Amino acid sequence: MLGSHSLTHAALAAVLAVSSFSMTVQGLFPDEAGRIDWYRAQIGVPKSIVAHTQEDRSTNILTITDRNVLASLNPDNGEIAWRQLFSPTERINALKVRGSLALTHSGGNETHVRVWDAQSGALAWGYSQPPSPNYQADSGAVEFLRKSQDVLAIVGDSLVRLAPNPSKPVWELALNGTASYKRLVVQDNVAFIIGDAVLSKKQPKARLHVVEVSLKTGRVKQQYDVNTERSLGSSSSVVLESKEYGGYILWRDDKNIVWNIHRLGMQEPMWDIYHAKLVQSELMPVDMLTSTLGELDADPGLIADKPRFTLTYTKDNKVKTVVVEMTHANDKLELRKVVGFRSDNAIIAGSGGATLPSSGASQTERAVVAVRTSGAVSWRVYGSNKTPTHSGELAYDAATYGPVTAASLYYVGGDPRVLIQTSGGLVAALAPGSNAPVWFRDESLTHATDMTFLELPAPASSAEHAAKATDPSVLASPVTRYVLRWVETAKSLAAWPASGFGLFGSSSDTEPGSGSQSTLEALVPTAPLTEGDHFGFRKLSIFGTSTGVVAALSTQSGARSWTRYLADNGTAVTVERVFITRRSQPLANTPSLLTVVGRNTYGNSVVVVLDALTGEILGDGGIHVLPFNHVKVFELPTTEKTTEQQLLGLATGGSEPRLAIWPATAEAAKAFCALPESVFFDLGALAGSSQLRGYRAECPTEAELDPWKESSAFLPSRSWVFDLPEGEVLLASSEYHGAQTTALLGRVLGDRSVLYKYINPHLVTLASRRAAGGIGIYFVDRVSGRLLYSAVHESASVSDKQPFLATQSENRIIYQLWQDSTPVGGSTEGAQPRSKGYVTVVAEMFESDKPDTRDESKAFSSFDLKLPHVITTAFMAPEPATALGVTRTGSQITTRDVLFGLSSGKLLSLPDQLFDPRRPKKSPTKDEQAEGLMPYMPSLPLDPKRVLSHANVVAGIAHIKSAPTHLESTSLVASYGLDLFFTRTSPSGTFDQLSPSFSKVNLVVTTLALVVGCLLGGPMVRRKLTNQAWA
Amino acid sequence: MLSVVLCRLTYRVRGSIVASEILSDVSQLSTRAQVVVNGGENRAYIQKDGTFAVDNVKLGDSLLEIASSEYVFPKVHVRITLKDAVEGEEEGRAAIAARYVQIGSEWSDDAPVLAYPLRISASDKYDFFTERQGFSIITMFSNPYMMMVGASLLAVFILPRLQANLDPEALKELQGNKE
Repeated sequence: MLGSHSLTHAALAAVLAVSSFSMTVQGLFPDEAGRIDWYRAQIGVPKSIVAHTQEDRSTNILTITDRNVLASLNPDNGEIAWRQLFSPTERINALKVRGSLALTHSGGNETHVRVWDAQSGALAWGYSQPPSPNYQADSGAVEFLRKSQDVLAIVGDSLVRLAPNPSKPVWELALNGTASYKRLVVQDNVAFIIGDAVLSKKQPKARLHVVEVSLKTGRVKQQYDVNTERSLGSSSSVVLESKEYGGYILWRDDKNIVWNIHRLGMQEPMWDIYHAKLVQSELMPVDMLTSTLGELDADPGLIADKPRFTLTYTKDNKVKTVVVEMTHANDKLELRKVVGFRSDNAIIAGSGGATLPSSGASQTERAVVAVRTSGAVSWRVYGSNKTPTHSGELAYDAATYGPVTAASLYYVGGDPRVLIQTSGGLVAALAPGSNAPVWFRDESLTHATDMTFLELPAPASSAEHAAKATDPSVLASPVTRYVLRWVETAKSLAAWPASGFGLFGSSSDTEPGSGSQSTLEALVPTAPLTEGDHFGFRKLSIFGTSTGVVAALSTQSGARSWTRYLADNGTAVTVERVFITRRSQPLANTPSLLTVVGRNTYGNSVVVVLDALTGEILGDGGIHVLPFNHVKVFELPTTEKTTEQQLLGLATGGSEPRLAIWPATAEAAKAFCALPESVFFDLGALAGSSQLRGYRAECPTEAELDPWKESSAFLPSRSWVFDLPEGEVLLASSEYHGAQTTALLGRVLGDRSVLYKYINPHLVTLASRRAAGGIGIYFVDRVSGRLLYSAVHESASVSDKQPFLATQSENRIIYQLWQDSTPVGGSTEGAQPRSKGYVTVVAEMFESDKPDTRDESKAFSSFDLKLPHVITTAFMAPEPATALGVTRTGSQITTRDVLFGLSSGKLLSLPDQLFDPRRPKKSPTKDEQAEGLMPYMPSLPLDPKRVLSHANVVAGIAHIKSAPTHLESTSLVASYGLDLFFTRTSPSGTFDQLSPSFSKVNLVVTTLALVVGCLLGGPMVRRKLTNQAWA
Repeated sequence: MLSVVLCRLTYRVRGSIVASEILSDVSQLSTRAQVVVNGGENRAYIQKDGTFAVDNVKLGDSLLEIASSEYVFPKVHVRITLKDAVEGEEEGRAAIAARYVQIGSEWSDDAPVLAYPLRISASDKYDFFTERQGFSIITMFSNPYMMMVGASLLAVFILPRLQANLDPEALKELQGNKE
């Protein structure tokens, strides 16, 4: 008797012990990092590249990018050695490198000059110039002085000389807005600044203004205009710098075949005339007229002994380039041809490597690369000989990342490396002897404008695949499919003992190449990802970028599945939105559809439909350029019957907007008109607008729908206008994204009464700037145009640097703005601010302020809408945030986490309960305690255990998106902007899955032990009972 | 009119990150760390030796934060006031008063004024991870389920023995009481 008792209890104990282990623990385990998430650090597409050779002869590539990043890359594998992000409002204009220092010039009127340690990326020193009213647009340049650590810079409207660690410039020269100065030529004792002179009615022709300044005193020695009729940077003028012989401006007059050369500082004569014929004997006057001049070196001050430039001309339909070097012979200027070569469709670049003074300029540093971009990408490096020293090809398909747009040349241990970049955002390093890149960086997603998740079909069993091949009709019935799956499972069960009971198998959780971007990854993915997993963790995240790239990545590993470059007439389509407009059924032959909406260079709307799984462009036309430009695109709640494609609405702007639909077919138009309810839409916050207008799409008679063309559109009627109060300007609008699911219709209070949630899918949140200062917030119903709620934040402000963020989920709207308690417009003196910082405001809407009261009408109608009861509260945010989001799960039974992208590079996830506006501000009552409300705290915590991105620095988070998985507890979270970071999170704990530490071995061993115990104990117990009966 | 002139005046706020027990070597701080004033209105990078200078800070009150991915720094309320605006002098002599502030609490003038240039040290290091708990007898038995199991095991195994050790009369008495 005792034996069986103990066994039962032991079994119970084992079960309880096991279940207690599977309970969730808060925070991320170290072994989960990099396994459930992936991270990719990015920099953007380089604007300027300088190869930098250090003391130990190792080379680093320094670059400034179009995403405002200064970065140092490892030349061998392209990995980021260090990077510095500049504020989005402070554009990096120039990069110079000398020795171990890098120099940047950034900003506009408010200019920043910074010197960096090129090895570590630490700031050595910096200087800022406050804005000036005389600032000329695009003015600015910077240069190191020779034989000195000082820097000369054009900042704002001044020329300054800066010594290291300046609190003030050594001297400052006000330029009084005389020109837009873009070029600095530094000599030993003087510097020349060159700018495009301000054009006037008297002097309408372009000319250059030159100022000669003494480096010692900062006094103007002379200033004059050079009537070049060309502006700086034009294809008919170059500036040449020479250490020994001074600086020159060389240009060709319009309709002239000779070159004019002006020596900086020399006004008598103003210029010499030079015959280009001397450098290229075969050049005819006609060819000369269409020839162009180009500068070769990214940082010409570096190799300024013999300045050089290119002359490119067309002769007999062949494009040729001549590299010309400027030297002096017998104290006379001489232009010498170094090398000439064919250059049809080629990009020419010099190897402007930064070298140490000790190493001197070797031949390699004078090399020139020509990269041919039409057809296959091929490149040739020329020294001083007509035959190239190195050459190579790249197997590259321009349909993936677009055509090559820029190239540069650097050397690693004497071997040339050609760095190419494409208009789509690919950066690749090429080496001789290989048609695959040495390394590449896919920087296209730094320009991502939209992203959507595509559910991948669950992995079909091999039996199902076999059935599909032989008899597809079997798959039609779910019963036969279920049987097929069981057959498969039974088969695999038979093989289970042979595999060691699955104990030694590797987990199928990760894909090859997971983690950060690998140099081993193939440039063109060989097999697109077509199957998901059983939990829905593996989906495709499909991005659209403003550089014309549409790319699909695995949410689980970040591996690229496919990329497609969309161009219209040779220029990239600016992709704005991506929609999944048809989801394919498992094993079906109709593919999932991705509809991409963007615009071309002329602003026309462009629609492209792709196979979402493979990236193949579908349809005969491929890229549809529509004869209008849209202001807003949104999904319509209907599908076209024949193709089962979801309809999209494209609304155009203007005083009489039109609503076009996609697909632009008569069937789609009929489906649209068959909608039981009219379609209402607004045009969002148009720049500078002071009203929001609502429209209702009207359907014409059925006869007018046929034939429906791409140019056809519905003529909506304006149903309402929501005017902002006098003097207010719309800043932003926010709405619900995607279908909303709600698990609970109300909140159960402590006394068991219910507060019903107010859920209005047509709610639009508006933020406006008030004339008297501060920010106005309005909740407007899109259908009726009614104002549901409004709030004023008198001391709040919104700007580029202090953004307004908002997110809507269920009956809750969360927004963030900068709270500046100093009265706006008033005197700052005497005002004592209570505090400053980012404020997160939560507004939760209920049907009524009285519990158990709800609208009993069966149909939701915006027209007889009661106003919601809105409860709001505000919290101080722990750090400046750049993006807001909310987690999503399948049924929304799991609580939501609110996601913050912080400017320090963290993705923070805070629990929903913290944002409850009903949190008691006094000591909680019994009912409030019973409801589980936490007492109010004015600040939100930055709990490091709730930082999803853990030690990764996710820079520049601009968007946070979330998608449900098949597990109710878990949602996928994706953040993008500059860096990419994908993870999954379980806001209420992983209640529907075993913990990763759950030991299946233990379970099997325990069960076996129990069975053995029963078998052994059974006879013993029986014997004991028999003995007892006899006793 | 005065306020317009005042608005244009901007100042440079200097300071440095100093070593503390938490961050003993300032050069170990990531070069990505920045000084952020008023949530992004002004930004400055931190030099290798920990010094920084934020330019173009406006007159009045500002919030100065150190944005670091690894370390927690206290937040500072910086107040720049004009000492005595001398006429004809373009840039009046400014006084700077800095105080530590807590996010979520009102700024008070009673807090002690910090020395200038600012000297800020890290107050904590972020620890993002939870250590995975290994198997431990103590944690296993401190689990409430296990305690319940223990209690019931106790009842099954020990109580009958106690019963057996009881005096038969006392037992009868107990049973009698029950009836």
